[in-house]
Amino acid sequence: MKIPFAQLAKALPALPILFLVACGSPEEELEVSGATKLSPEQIEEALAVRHPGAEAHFAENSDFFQMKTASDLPAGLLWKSGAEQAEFASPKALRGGTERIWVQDFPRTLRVVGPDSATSFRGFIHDNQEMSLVKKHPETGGYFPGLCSEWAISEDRKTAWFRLDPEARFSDGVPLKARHFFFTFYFMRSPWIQAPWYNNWYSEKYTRIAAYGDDIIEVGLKDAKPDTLRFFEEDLYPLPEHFYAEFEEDFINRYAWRFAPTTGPYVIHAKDIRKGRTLTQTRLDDWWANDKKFWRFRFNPDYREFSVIRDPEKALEAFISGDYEMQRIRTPDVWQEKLDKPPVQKGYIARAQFYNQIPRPCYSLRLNKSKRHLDNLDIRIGLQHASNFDLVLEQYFRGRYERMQTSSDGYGEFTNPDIKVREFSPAKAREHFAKAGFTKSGPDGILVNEQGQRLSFTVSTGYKRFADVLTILEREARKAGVEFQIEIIDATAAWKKAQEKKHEICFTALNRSVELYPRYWDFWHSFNAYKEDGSVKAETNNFTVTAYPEWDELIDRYEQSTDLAEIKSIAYELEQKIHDDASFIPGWIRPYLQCAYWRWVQWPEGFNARLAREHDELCIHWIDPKIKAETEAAMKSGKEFEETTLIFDQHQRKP
Amino acid sequence: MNFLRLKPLTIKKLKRFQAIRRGYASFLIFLLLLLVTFWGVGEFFVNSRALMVKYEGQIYFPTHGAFHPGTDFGFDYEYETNYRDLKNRFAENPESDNWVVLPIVPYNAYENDFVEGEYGPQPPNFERRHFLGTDNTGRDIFARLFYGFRYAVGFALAYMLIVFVIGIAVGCAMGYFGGALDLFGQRVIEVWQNIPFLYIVIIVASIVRPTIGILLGIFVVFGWTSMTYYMRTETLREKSRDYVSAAKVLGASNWRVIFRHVLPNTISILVTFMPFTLASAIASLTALDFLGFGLPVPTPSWGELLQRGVQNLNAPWIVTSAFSGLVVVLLLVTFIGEAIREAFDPKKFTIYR
Repeated sequence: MKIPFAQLAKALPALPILFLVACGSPEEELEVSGATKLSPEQIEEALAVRHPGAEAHFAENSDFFQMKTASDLPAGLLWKSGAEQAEFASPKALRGGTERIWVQDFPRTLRVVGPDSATSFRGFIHDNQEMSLVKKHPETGGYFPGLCSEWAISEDRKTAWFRLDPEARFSDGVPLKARHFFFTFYFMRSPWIQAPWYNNWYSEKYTRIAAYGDDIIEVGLKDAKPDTLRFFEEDLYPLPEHFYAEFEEDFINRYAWRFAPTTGPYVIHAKDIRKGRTLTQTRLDDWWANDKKFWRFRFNPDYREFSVIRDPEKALEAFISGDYEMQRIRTPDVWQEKLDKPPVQKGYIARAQFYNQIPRPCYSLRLNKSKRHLDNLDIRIGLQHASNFDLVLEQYFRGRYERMQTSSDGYGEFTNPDIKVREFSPAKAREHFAKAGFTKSGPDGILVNEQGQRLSFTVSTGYKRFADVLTILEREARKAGVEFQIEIIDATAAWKKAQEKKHEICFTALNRSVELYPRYWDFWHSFNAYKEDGSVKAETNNFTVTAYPEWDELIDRYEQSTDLAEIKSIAYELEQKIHDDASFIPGWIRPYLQCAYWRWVQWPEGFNARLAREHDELCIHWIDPKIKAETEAAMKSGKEFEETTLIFDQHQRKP
Repeated sequence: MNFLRLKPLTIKKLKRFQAIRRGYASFLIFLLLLLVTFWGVGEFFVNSRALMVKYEGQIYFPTHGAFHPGTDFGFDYEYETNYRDLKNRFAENPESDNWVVLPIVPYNAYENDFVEGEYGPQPPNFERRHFLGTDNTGRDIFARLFYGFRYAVGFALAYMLIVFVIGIAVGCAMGYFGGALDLFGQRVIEVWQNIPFLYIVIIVASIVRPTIGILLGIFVVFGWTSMTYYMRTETLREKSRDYVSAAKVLGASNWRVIFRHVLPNTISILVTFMPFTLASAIASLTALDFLGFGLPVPTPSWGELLQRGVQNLNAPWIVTSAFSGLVVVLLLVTFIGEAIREAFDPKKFTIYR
């Protein structure tokens, strides 16, 4: 990498680091990397780095960025440390070994913000390993400390204080300071990162950040929410200012392949990146959180080796032949047939099914009420009865998935348990269609009304993989006299079409993060349905174009409420209204996660935690070298083990 | 359409074609396939509707025409009668004189024939008359192959017809009139040929639901150029022959010269290209379907079947059926093409070295 002189001059404060890193081997590329350990002097220098843009930004926004002293700290704060929470990793875990992982695409950047960064690979280098101030406890839903040792929340729930863990440091050895959080705000609000969502989030959600010395920070929130700490579990993480000394307009390219110092356990050395092919993460031996409760016994493999396989079918074969440690299972046919191979039968590969309790992605049909016929309640109820998801579940998904009942399943007590989805019934559907004027059948069996209009709707989706589901629905809907024209287009085009409300019926699902209670504003508030001039509003997620003043009032109250009992009662009421309105046809949920793994991969006793979305999300598995040697010997000698299929149903919801 | 009247020479060529047994046999088989799967005819062989039903003294022919709701035959539903169920019901009650005659394959290409408790693709089952098994939504592979052939060949024929009409018109005009038209036309075609056809199809297919009409349109828009060049050279050659000059001297109009003299003499090149154009159109459509940019779901298509087969290698009957079908049809068409080329080859007794 060449650094032009002018830019070098701007980055003067970082120069010592640059040179020292480069000194090691002059032939090598000049490398700015968070994977390199700094000497005590270099750490001193790194801590002294001040980005000029950040300095100016702090000075301009002195209301937002406040410097205080330890004596200013309000008295009587109720500090918490999550000590009452139990550990979820297993003390039996062994460190070491190499975990081989396949990815469908080679990451296009090592950045975690900006264009091309939101890929599934981000989970490995950031979401599941970068530390934040606090983390949600995956078993209880409470919180445990990450970068802070304790925290406090004000009574109005609009301010939070964090005492930073004195041992916390970045992977290059630089200790964590309050200043790093200040820099995060400057960085995330900058247009140079080309990430409007972040720009908006860090400008709109927080009102101030204050430092009481180096090790206590205070953050103000715009809205009071019952779960205040949600704003700190993922989004607020510190950024190493010394690493971003060259942060400027060309950030997107300049930092595309630099590994940023991390507070997490894995680093990436430049030598371990073979672009387009493989990438290896190395475990920090002396990771600062090695012995911290909630963090110990996790992130066990010494190396994580990523390689690219574009075709998932091929990857599955590669896994079965032993090229990878673990395989996520998404569909029942993989679980039942495609894995029914000798390594599984001989017990070298185990399968596990773990019932989790998370907000489910809502695979559903959403009816656009601004379109012809769909504004009629009877038509919508008819369509509910005409959608045979039961057959899809029974036959196509082999009875292994469950029918979704409400628009927000999986929110525990915030999901209304009294609502039951309407069943498939051609007779009932026809009854409702008749009420809407569709009484006669055409020659092809599709209903027509007095004006000769056919009862036909286009179902748009971007999910090629669910084409079969839609064809089954289409066939079955004919029994009710309604025609579905299936339109499978490119995922981006389908999303855009739905966002612009040009669809009649769209088949989509939105992934949801683990939250306490469901969101309604995005999908059901009139703000997201119509513009002031009465035209349909684009770029919102109100796919049903719902606009009822009565609902608006409820949703507004729901959004502002801090009382969980009230939130729950409104959620129940809204859910009932959504059911009655019938513009949302619930699809299915998968109440568990499934994976297959070579038998040397070991898991804690209960396999995983209640709120885990993926088997490897919490990194609590480990590789047992003894079992690995034993298995490899057995494979050579032809010795067989018992076939292992584990079902963990401790968190299964019993009807 | 004078130029279509067969010359003695052409008849001789056709006779020669007939004498090439492999090609001629392929031609007959292909013709038979075409006939059997033809619109209106195929429904008698592969269909979920019965051929004939006798119910309560009345005889029905449900194959064509409006659907019969279940209530017509004593079921309690208003949607289309399931004739297989009807047959079973009649069988349970042998003393009544009601009966049903089902086609050989009593399934259409769309319906999901699920078996309770059995999941995934089902292997061939002669008892249920799934001769080639089912796919993972319970659809009959044979029916999908059968109607997929209809779509593929119908598409290819329509494509060939349009491309030939455009190709002949443009190519002939360029070759015959020459000059600026020829020069300009050639450049336009050169530029046009360089537009990546596949990308256009992918872009269009990702934005709208591609119907067979749209697909045909795209294929034609990017396919018409290939024929023009052959027609242009052929016309150029014929134009410089003495008989054309003679006709001109005698005062024949351009129109007459082209249709009466030039075109009939280019027929051999047209006929030779036909089968290969057909084969390439079938292959391209299948390839597009395989990539997922072809015919809209749930239209039966070979590419989709191949794709499904590759995804479900543990159900080999899917991929085997689709693959064999494709190989057989393309082989047939190629054999026909070879034979035609040989039959229309003026240098019959030349030995190529």
